[in-house]
Amino acid sequence: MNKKKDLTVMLVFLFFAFAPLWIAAFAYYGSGHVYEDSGTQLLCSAAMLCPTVSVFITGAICKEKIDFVGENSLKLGIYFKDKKWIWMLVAIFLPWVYKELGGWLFLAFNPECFDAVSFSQELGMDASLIAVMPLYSVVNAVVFSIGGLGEEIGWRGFMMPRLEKKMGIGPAILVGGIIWGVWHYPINYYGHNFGTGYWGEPWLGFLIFTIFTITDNALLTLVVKKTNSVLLAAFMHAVGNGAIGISAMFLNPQNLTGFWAESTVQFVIMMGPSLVFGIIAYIWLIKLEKKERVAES
Amino acid sequence: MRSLLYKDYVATNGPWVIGGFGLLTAFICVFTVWSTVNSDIEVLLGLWTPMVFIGGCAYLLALMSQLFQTDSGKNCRDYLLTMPVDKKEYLLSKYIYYLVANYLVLSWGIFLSMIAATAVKTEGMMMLVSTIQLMGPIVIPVMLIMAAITFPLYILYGKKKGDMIFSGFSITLTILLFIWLLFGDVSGLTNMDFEGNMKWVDEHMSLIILLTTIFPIVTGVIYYLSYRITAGIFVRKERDIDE
Repeated sequence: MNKKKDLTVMLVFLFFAFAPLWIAAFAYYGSGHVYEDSGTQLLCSAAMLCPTVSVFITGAICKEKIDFVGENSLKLGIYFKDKKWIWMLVAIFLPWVYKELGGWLFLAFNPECFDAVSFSQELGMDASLIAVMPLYSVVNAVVFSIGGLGEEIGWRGFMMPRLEKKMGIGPAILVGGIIWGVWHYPINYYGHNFGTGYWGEPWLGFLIFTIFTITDNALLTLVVKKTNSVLLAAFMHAVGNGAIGISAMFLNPQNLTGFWAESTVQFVIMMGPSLVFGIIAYIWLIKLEKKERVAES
Repeated sequence: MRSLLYKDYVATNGPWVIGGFGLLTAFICVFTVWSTVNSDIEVLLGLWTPMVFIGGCAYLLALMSQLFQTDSGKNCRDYLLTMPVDKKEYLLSKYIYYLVANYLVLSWGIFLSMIAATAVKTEGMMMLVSTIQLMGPIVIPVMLIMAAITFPLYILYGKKKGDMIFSGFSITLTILLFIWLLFGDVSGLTNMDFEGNMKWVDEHMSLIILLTTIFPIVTGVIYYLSYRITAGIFVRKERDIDE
């Protein structure tokens, strides 16, 4: 009976998380709009709230108790004890670190892309302020993190604990990451992350993005476990979406041709460090689970 | 903590406020859809969207005092503090509630600007709509700094005295503003033009970036210090409530 109820809860949650985004995306772009239109920003931002809305709809339909804080809750509290503040700093600054590393890695492969002037000229700011830009983007991402929170409450606060309980942390990270990745497919299809016209479109884009969501899922789940708070994962998600590294300001991809001009290749190189951090997080989570099992037995 | 936050949510008419904000959003949505068939509406949309956000900020201003209004009833806070509620926790709930309200109003403002941006086509109107995104991270920290100053007054001196001190301060500022308007150099105001201001923003992008980076961080520190200092005094202080 419980197994059946768990499955129903998960299916209802996924339906209400997926349906609004998929229907809205296909309706909007199907009616002649393109990804570059101003409506895309609204569509993506509103879609990010769907997982949270879905949590409450699921709670109402399946009569599932939704707690905000405490055991088996959405983990909306924030705690500073037991050196959790270290993990808070990690959550806020790690996305910037891996984006920075990715940018420099890309520049190392393509030194001809190094351009010291065009970006600061485009923004109309002093070159000396470039050093402030990462902090600026991190602060802004945290201030405007409502979208990240909208996703994290649903994916890491509601879905992941249920998957983990069902299949253990290792498979849960994989399955949760795949679900999270698939949820993005309609906007990926119309140009999100990879644009259009790349080699292997759209399947290669889907595959690469799903690998990224699996590793990012591991990172975000680890942060939730270490801080016992979904809020920090939301900040991490927002910084990951919005942070601009210093390297990005010296990178002018206009000089690229052939293989390196492919958006999928650029994405893989730039997000490469995040994949490494994600794999480390995955191993860490497996070890944590083993430790917990030993402690329980 | 959860119960204290819920108490504040109910005491400040949270469900009604959320309904009101929902209606305002619907109002902007209607204008957005309408402007796709009638281009004249675009001007109204461009003007109304920032105004609606300013309304949201005005609510935040009122919320500052409203948060302490219900607790200032006869013996209400005394009663609350006889319950198994830590004094620090009680104070923290006020700071957290106000912080969350600010975060939500700012996020709501950003959504409004995104909704309006889908219909606004002319550059001037687009600039007006995007002022929410530009000014939000400056306006909201100002609200939090004001709260960091007024909350200690409400907590340590009670609602009435706190209101009096705050009103006295606001009236003094208003009088000074009037004196400046009557006798000061207001040529800057009379010669103010919108395009010139936007040009100034473009030319001083470095300053804006620096401000929007440092200001939220400084605000966070001030807000936290305000809580820590007030909590320190509040815990030691004898109960001294004005009613």
